[in-house]
Amino acid sequence: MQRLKDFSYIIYDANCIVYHCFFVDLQVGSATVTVTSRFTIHTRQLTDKLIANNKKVTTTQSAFDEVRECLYAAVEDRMAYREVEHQLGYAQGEHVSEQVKLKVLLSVEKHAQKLPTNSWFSVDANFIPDGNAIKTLRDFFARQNPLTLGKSKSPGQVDLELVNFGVQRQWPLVTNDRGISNSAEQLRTANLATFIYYLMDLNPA
Amino acid sequence: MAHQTPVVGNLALADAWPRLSDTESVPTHHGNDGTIICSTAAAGSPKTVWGIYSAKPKVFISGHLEGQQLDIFNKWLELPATHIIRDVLVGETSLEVEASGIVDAGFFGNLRQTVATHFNAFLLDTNCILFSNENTRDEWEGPEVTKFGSLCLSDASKSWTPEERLETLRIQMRELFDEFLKWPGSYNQLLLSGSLDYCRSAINKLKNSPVDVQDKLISQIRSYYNQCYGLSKQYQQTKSTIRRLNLQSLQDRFELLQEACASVHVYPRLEDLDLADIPAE
Repeated sequence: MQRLKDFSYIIYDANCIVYHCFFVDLQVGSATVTVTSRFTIHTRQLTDKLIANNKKVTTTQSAFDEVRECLYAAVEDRMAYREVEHQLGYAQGEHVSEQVKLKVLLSVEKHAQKLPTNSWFSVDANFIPDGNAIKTLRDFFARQNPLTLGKSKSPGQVDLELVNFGVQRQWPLVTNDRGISNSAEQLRTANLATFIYYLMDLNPA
Repeated sequence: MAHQTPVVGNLALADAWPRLSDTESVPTHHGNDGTIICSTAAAGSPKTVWGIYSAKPKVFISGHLEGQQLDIFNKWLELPATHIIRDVLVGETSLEVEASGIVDAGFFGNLRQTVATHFNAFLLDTNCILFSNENTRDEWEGPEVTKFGSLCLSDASKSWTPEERLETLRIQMRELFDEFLKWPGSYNQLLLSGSLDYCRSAINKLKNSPVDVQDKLISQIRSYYNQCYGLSKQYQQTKSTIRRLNLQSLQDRFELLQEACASVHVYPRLEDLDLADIPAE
């Protein structure tokens, strides 16, 4: 958290927004089961801390529009966990039904769509990405050793725009994309980024 | 037309043409004459309804289709045209139909058209074949022509009981659900598979409902099914592109369907669903 103390705005990527919102109560008979993503608790603690310190969370319009697809991936991933299947009463070998996945998906999406109504969150619709900078960023990642990307894919257009958004506004970017955070120092040295932090590397305490 | 057959309706798009409701597009029994029942569709948004036919020898199917009337709409000329089916070729998985007729093209005079189309056919089980409308071919291929509407073939040998109607819809729903499960994963793919899964559960619950409730909901579920089925056919060759579509109108219809199911206490809205209430297959 110390690393974010000098900034009034913190940029979240689409995944961070999804993790923050992925908190769904499901009724299973007389029991209520709360389903979260693996990163939800950490992300919520971080967000709460930011809010408590009068920081604001922001993102680009294109990243906010990408929430739907990130959300789909997060739901598919989480609902396939045996631990979650068990909590929801599915026997070994049974999988969570599509309607339950859809229920979770729509619930998290509803939460995400309401985020801009909070005073601590905003979507920057005025941001215009710098075309030359995006091209340079794309070339930069094309030259990267695949090992640097880890399990992540090469950053897409929306991710590159987020990096550029950070440079233009001089705000730090919090991401769950190892491909970007592993290259943070190099990007900063090349003046292509400001500070980029991997979500789980930030300690909310 | 010199030869008028007992066709109740078809893809009749002109305002003055008789139209059938969704309810009427449900296969129904019409005497013992093998009546073909077809539904209508709005201009520019062809309705796709599966037809159902008890498995019969191929010659039986051909015999019932030949000479039947097909009404289609030429978008380019903005004219409806009535055709008579001249030839039918029944394959293992397809049904090819050739029809001819005359289009009144106004100052261009009368244009004689020959239309060839084919329908996909799937053997659902030992006694049921599903037909779907498929792309028209030859000179009718392309955006100028609205696809054929539904071609519902009723089994002339028996009446459809409410249970059979439900079972039929359940089977269709299952087929389409399985189809979308195989598509590349995306928000839209889950919207389609999840909502069809919901419909399957609602149909299961409907079995214990009064007939009037069944009638009301079946038409709505079938209508929703038709829209999803249309998407499956439209994007069959480009499945991955479905993720980029704006399916808000489909989502809105799904919302209305949930409202309808919940209002008659058949099945709760997804939002209020208790997982313990999901019926087993």
